[in-house]
Amino acid sequence: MTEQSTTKKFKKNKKRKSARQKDMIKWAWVLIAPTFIGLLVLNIIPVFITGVMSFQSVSTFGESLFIGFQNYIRLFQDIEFWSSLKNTLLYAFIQVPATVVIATILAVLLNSKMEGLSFYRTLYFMPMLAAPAAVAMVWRWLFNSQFGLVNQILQFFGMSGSIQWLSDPNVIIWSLIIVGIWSNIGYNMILVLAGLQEIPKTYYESATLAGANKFQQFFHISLPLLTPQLFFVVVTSLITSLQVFDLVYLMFSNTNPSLINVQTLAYMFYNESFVLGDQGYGAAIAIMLVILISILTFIQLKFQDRWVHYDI
Amino acid sequence: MKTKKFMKRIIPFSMLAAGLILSSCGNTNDTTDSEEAGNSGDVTLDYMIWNASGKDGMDAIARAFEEENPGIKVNVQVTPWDQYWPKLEAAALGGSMPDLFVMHSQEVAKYTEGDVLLPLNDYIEEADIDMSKYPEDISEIYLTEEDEQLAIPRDYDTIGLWYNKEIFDEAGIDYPDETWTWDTLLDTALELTDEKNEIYGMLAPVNNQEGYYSFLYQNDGYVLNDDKTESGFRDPNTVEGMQWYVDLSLDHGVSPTAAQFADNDRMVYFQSGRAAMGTFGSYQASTFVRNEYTAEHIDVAPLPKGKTNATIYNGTGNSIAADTDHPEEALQFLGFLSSEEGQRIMGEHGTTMPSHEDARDAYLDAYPQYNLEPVLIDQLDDAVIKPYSDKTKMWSDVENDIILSVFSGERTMEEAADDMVTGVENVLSTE
Repeated sequence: MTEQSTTKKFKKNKKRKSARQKDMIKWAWVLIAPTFIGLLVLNIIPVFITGVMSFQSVSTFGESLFIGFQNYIRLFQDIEFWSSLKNTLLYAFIQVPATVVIATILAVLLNSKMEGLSFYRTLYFMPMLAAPAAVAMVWRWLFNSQFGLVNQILQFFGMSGSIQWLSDPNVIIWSLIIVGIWSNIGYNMILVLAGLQEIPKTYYESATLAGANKFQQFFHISLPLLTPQLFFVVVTSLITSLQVFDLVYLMFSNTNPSLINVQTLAYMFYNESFVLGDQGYGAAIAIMLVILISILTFIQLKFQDRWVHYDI
Repeated sequence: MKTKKFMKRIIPFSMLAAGLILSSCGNTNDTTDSEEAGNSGDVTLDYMIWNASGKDGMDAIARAFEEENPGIKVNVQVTPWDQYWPKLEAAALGGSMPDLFVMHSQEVAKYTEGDVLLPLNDYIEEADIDMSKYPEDISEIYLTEEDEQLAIPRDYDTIGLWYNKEIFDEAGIDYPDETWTWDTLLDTALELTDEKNEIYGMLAPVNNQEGYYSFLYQNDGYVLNDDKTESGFRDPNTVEGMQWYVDLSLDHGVSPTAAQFADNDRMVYFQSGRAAMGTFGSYQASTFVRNEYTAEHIDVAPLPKGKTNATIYNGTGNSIAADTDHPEEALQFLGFLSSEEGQRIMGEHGTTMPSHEDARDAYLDAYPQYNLEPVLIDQLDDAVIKPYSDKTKMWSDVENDIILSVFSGERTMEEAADDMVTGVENVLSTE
């Protein structure tokens, strides 16, 4: 893209390219080649292959057969697909807003001058550094219905403390959401924090002079000026959350009687493609997920003018 | 303005990239080339296994082989089970398979297509390998419809009733033995279950090979018919056997429920001394002996008798990649792996039970603390090979989903039997 627009500019400014400019273009291609080839081979070509595979009955080492829309027809009749879709949407629509709100509040708190500031910032960012496998293992223990810390704390506060976090069909998705929120707060907080620090101090100074309190300052200065960052955070978080896989895979086993109430589309895709070996069907699931993500992202881009302020 | 442009550009891209990463994941392909040390004429063979605790034994075999065959080096690679199959599949597609690797009954069907594995018939004849030394059922797993032998049996395993001696001693009850029946098992389990201290008499998790399959056969039931076209859940014996197993947790409360196993798996219960008995594969011996608690406090007995005696057994095989650069050397090493000598080394290291008849005592001697002989040798007479067909994983998945609804008490096995038969036979009909 960059390359093309540069070429266009050259064409506009001078009709004929000088030897030096041609040389520059050549070098531009050489310099982007590593990334470009990587993207092509690892991302762009596979997406087309996935598209083709979703119309095939794929045999790993033998001949793959085209079977038209059969994979998709089967998908729409599959109860597992609909419950995975429901779980995925529920997870995304609760995890993302909750993460963004909490991350914003924390960012504002950590944007003030206080003692041990960098300590707290590090603390909240820590979950980002932990490997998902470790996160899932630790949370499995915290959620353990008998010895888990979560139930112990609930008990301490006089609640029943016998919640089956990892197996009650009505609770299980909430366990996943809680871990999802916990792991994503740190990263989003850093993004919002960076946005906050870009806001000129003078706005707050004049607001203070005009008698605005902290809350008014937050809602009338910080929040509007943060909208570009918040928009970015919401869009990217939604994309990642729709693809949640690792936590499901690591926290719940396939002998869990409530797996159906927590498995996501990405998990179902993995299971069909790589565990059960039905790669055509798996590809159809992946394509549905891409379509879902595209629609939701398109809607967000469409409506961003309503609430995102890029300039004052 | 700058930010807006940036945002507009970056978002569609990150979206696209995010969507695509998903489709391209899982196909990582570790190429560990079999490097030839050029001039000296040395050949290096790669041998891939999935069992990390078996690396010592495999290394020992490799060293012994290298000593006898100067000029050939063997490099043993361990890839954990979960990544083993995606990796092998990707390597097969990319033409970078290890020279030799371990094959399993649940996966081999896929590899019978497309000339991925080297047929071993000629070599078996040439090298005069006596196939009658290995369990016939296990050789048969790796025999294609065209009578091509794609692997030579490596090991086998049966299921045993492992028990906690300490819990039995405290209650003053005799240890399980070959005279036990289902009634003895249930009565003892009821007696040993101690709700107050959360000790369970028996472990009956959602596990087919190490759990309910053996009980289905003990009740004269079956999982697949001989043609592999029908589900065994057409037979009331199968349904009854399954229900009996499920009731251990649901009705009698002598086992944790499926929901409880979601919190703590069966190993946790057993290794923390909170279960008196459990059915585990004989290959778990190498795990138990490495745990401080189970190394000392447990032992094993044959499975109890239902209407009849039965245990599930299964075995892996060693295969060679059809496109290996060194077929001759690979065959030579395969011959050694399958020979009495090679199998004995594997047994001595307690890796797994050698499939070679004459080497089995080495494995039994490697675990003097566990009474494995009745489990691995005596039970073999009534052993049933773990059910498999071309699409084992597909119908096992259907089976698993339906059985979960029985384990959770949503419906009885009888009510679920029709769904089971339809679901499993749908898969079988596409084979």
